[in-house]
Amino acid sequence: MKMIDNYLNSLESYLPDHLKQEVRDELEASIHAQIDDQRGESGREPSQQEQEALLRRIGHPMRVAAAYLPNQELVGNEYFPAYKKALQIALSIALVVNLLAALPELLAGGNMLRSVFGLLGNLIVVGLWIFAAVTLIFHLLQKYGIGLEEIYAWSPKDLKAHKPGPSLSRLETFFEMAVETLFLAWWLDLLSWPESIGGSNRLSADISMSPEWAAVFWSVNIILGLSIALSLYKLFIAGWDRFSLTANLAINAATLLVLIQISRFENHVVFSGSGDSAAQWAKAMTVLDSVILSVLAGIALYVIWESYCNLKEFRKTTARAPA
Amino acid sequence: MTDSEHYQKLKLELRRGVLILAVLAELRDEHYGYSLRRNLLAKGLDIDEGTLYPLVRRLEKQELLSSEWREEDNRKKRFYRLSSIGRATLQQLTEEWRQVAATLDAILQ
Repeated sequence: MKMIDNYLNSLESYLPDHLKQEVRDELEASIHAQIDDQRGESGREPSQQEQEALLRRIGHPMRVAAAYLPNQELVGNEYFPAYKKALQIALSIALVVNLLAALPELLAGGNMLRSVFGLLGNLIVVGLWIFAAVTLIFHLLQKYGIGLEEIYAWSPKDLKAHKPGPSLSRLETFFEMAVETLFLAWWLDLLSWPESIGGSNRLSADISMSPEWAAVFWSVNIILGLSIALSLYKLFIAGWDRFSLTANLAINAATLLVLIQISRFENHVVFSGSGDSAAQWAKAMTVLDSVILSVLAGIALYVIWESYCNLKEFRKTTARAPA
Repeated sequence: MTDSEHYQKLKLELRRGVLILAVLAELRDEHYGYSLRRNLLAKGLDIDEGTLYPLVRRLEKQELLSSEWREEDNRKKRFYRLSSIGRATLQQLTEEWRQVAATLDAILQ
């Protein structure tokens, strides 16, 4: 009965010391009693398959062991809604604080890409620490059964009036504003872009935006400015209304027109290469052009999708409005 | 999840609700783990060991059962029986069950 011994040894390995022996003894007695019954009925020792079927019916040793142990959840049902809300709030605060803290470095000039990646890396690390801390706090609250009444203390009188209309994700709006602000800052040349690429004198090149971008300079400024203003308005009214939906649709329409205009440029970037590999850099320019077009296509798709969602909400809002 | 899987889940939930009452009722007579399971199975309630044994241990922790180890047929077995608290609880749960069953019958008609 090596398989049965292996099963019981495995089960023991998942149990704390004070439970190992008695759980093993109890289950072993049960298993052997069943085998005795089977032997009595069939007149022979149970086969390997029969032993396997018996052990499978009892269940995976880890799961059986877990059933003997107290609460196995990090954060259970009762505390989970409050835990989720606390996590959302803590992560939102961390996001805003980190963005604000990173702004001086971003605006001071230097390598923007490196700064942005550094910021993203920072956000991930901070996010993980916050996740661990909030989870630990709620696990301890649950373990000692404290705080449940205080967490869910409420009165119907204190509930805020709900504004009819689609809800707004503050985190999403902050994130959009942050991205638009950074882009606007770069666009207005407040942030620098690596002007020179290539390591050695033999393979150096200067990269710059093509003069065709001048045609959309003010359009982009206006669109971004209006978009940031609209985000502030949405945060102020804590939601969407017909005005903000209409404004967003108009901004998206203007964005699509500008994207179409940009996609029609002959060149998006200009290399002025020198040295032996000028032809190589010219080839790289074509590749970079394709990358830029792909990014523009991605932005266009996102704008179209957002416009579709806004239109749906606008129709719902219009249908809900009193006659 | 298929319809049949949904049904199996719901059936399991329904049966889970009556396990404790079934186990307490069966332990009006003394049993060890396997004999308890065998008796319940003979009466139509199939519970695997991985569920039954942790359940009886929990009931013992709640002082509804008492247990003792005895040697039988050269094997150590843990025998369970209802405690006085367990007997009182069984009576209350039985009454509760009868009320629930009557209510459900009325709803199902």
